[in-house]
Amino acid sequence: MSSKKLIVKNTSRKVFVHLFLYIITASLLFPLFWMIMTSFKPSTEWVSYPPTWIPNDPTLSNYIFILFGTSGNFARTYASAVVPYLNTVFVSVTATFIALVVGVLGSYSLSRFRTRGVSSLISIIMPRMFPPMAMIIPMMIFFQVIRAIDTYWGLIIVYIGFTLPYSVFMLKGFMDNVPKEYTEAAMMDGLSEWQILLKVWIPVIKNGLMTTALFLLILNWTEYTFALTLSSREVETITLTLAKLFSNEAGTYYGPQSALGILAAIPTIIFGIFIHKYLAYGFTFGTLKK
Amino acid sequence: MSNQIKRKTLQLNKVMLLPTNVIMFFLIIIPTILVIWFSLVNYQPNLGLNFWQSKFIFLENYIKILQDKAFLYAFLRTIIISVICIIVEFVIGLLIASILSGEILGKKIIFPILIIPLMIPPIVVGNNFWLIFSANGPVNQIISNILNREFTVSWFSHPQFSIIPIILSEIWHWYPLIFLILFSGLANISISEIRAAQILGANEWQIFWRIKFPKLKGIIAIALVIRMMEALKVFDIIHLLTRGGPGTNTETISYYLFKYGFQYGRVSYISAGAWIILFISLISFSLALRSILGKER
Amino acid sequence: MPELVLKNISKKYGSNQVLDNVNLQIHDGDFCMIVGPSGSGKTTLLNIIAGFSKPDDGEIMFDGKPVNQLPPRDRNIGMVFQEYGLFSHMTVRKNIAFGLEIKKNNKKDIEKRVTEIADWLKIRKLLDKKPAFISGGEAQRVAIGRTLINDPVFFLFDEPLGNLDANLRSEMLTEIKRLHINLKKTFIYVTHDQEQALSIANRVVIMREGKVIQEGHPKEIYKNPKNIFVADFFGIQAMNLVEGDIIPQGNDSLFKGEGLNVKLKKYSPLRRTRAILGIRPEDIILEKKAGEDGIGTISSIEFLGDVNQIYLMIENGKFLIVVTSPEVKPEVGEKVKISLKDNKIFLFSKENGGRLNT
Repeated sequence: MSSKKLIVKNTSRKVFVHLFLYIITASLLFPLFWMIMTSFKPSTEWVSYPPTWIPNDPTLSNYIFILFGTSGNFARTYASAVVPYLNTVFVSVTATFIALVVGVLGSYSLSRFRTRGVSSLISIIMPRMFPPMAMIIPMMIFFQVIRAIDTYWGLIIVYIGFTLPYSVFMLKGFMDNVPKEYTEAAMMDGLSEWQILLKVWIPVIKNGLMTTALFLLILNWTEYTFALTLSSREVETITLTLAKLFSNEAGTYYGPQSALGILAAIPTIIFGIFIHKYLAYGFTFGTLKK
Repeated sequence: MSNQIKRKTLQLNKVMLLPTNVIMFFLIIIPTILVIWFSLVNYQPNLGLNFWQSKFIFLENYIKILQDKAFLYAFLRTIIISVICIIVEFVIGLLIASILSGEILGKKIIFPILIIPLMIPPIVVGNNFWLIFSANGPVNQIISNILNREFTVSWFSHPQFSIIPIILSEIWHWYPLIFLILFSGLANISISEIRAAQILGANEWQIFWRIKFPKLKGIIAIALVIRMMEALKVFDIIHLLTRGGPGTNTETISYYLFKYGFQYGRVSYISAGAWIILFISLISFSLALRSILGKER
Repeated sequence: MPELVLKNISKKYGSNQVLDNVNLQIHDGDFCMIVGPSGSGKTTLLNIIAGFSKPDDGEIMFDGKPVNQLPPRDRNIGMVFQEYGLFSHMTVRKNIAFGLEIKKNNKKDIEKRVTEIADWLKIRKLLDKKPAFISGGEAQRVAIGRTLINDPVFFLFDEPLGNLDANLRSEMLTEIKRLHINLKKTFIYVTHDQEQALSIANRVVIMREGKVIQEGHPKEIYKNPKNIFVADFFGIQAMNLVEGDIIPQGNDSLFKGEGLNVKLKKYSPLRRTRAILGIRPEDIILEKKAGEDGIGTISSIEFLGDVNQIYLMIENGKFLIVVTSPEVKPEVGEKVKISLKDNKIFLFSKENGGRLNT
């Protein structure tokens, strides 16, 4: 083929691939776009027909509703969503942190010493296969007995329980890839086990640590099932608030719901974007070497 | 290592594993034992039967639930939904991962954008798709334009169509996970091997099938298993958007357990159901893993 | 007619000019070695020849036809990579057969060809093993075998011996030379280790910071380095470099520096010039009697078998390395007179390193 024809072929191929990608990305972004637009729509435009793609009358009233609650204008009084938001922050971050620490200790033990026992790999995968619904009822009973229903620590402990298998599984994968030479050198330098963990292993698995942290955080932040069944009045997380806004007698408050949805999604989105570079290489679960 | 140091180290690692063991024991082992117990007795809280008054009825619950068509349909439904979701997610994930592995203008912006759906709480995703698929929503508007007539179907009340927004929302939420896994896998393939294949005359297709795909098999297997495990548990979106309806048309297995367990109080019944599900999952996953990977993991 | 022509090739990565107006002509059957320190652009050049990289400017031509736009797979080249790039999930047999299997050739023909190549490279017993289970030298051969199956027009080698230990390296180098003689095809070989060049290449291209500094037959370059960089970089032994001044004396001149006083016949600059004198260790003669270029004290002697290597101090802290035949055995501490072979003296400008004399 002549040079000119090849140039045309090469460039048109490139253009096609880029266009294809941009179109897919745009369509994948569409639902999010719609929600952002809805959050700025006044109530008249929420379900107007034909639907308005960009609000004709943009407003911040939905966000005000979320932040300050409301009475009067709407059929019901709604409390501000700030408290549930803070609840979610407290519960997720604490649960993630503890699950991470415990997970690091546990996976270090499993990886370094091949310890057996309850926490062997099989017993970590099995709980994930078990339908959580069935586990909830015994947990409820258990919690009622120890008076942990509808408490902060009750929820935190449950979250730790349900994310710990993921934590250990993922961290162990990364820990298994720490080169033996590092450990041997550290032992020759006379470092204690704790020092080996803190000064040698943790820096090596930094990427994996970040990936796991983000993964756990997302799981906890977005959790609904346990929150629904094990807590509801005292400790309300935003997933519950969102659900409440959704179904009620007077019709769905699409605007405030979208606004809260955006606010609820922002932290995890920001975390994700912050760490996306680690994610790009941290998802091999230890099966491929870098 | 001297014996004393060996003993100390062994003790230490047991100590390190202790918190994990304790938590797993209380939060997983105990409830599991309770669930086994429930499945073998006739515990039904709302019939006034106290926990301590339940009678041992052996495998009656298991037999009863296996005869319930709703249970079997829910199971089947869940599997079909999961399989459809996974297939589409894999196609999308593989496509984007392959494209983004090359030289793309704007890669640094597009990559984070594509991951976003995974970061959004499922409830919010549900809300989103409710908006989009509402009777007066943009989807109906677009379809109306294409078909050149009014199309104002109420998706969520439609017996056959209601499953579609559910499937789409699951796919939208989860495809980034598959994408990330496949992207990591592709990024870890040595560029020398790819260049060697290029210079030996292979075209893009051949490079994909003969070099990239075989190397990704392990990762794809893991991704499939992980994703399938999560897919079978789908609950949040169903509870929010359709409550399993209309009728039982979107009743997944998790929703079935929720309905019969929490709303009807038939705890023993659903405990047996849960064990059946676990049993079937374990067997299928081991079989699947073994056949994909060729040997024991 | 030159088979491969590179015309005005330039490439930039960010603000870094990796290749700067490179011009090269390689002829059919050449064994061309491209040498240079790291960062000189030689691997980039190879990648451009292979088609993995496109130059910002310039043309590449195979047999007169421009191939800038041709993708690697259509260029009919064989390439051995630094990390070999063996397909780790396939057996050696499948690795070698790859080039023909993608063309969907007849299975029996492919099998025959693979066996031929394996026999020739003496790797028949490895055919059913996977790359993770063979040694470095064996992997090297498999990498070469893989390129042979398509019968390419010419061969590229990117630092192929870097991962091998020293003794294996010289053995493999001879193998590659043997391959070249047998195949009679063009080889383009990139390395930072110029020692390999003198023994097996018939063309050497010396690169530095993206530019071609000098090129030609290795013996030519050895005899006539264009500047101080080439003189220092190229050659088995380091060249002795002495700083000083050239003082014109009629038709001749005198080089005076660091203890040396060397008469330079038939060379006279216009005025006194700061210069660097270069002389190879084997071109310094130690005389007890009439050496006139300088005096030095023997600092140490190493008996290397076929030669003696002597460290000679000519001024406080300045040493010359001298290589002599085994019969010359001065004593440590002895003062000897030095004579430099007239036609082997190199003079370089202190400012820019350029060659002053011819």
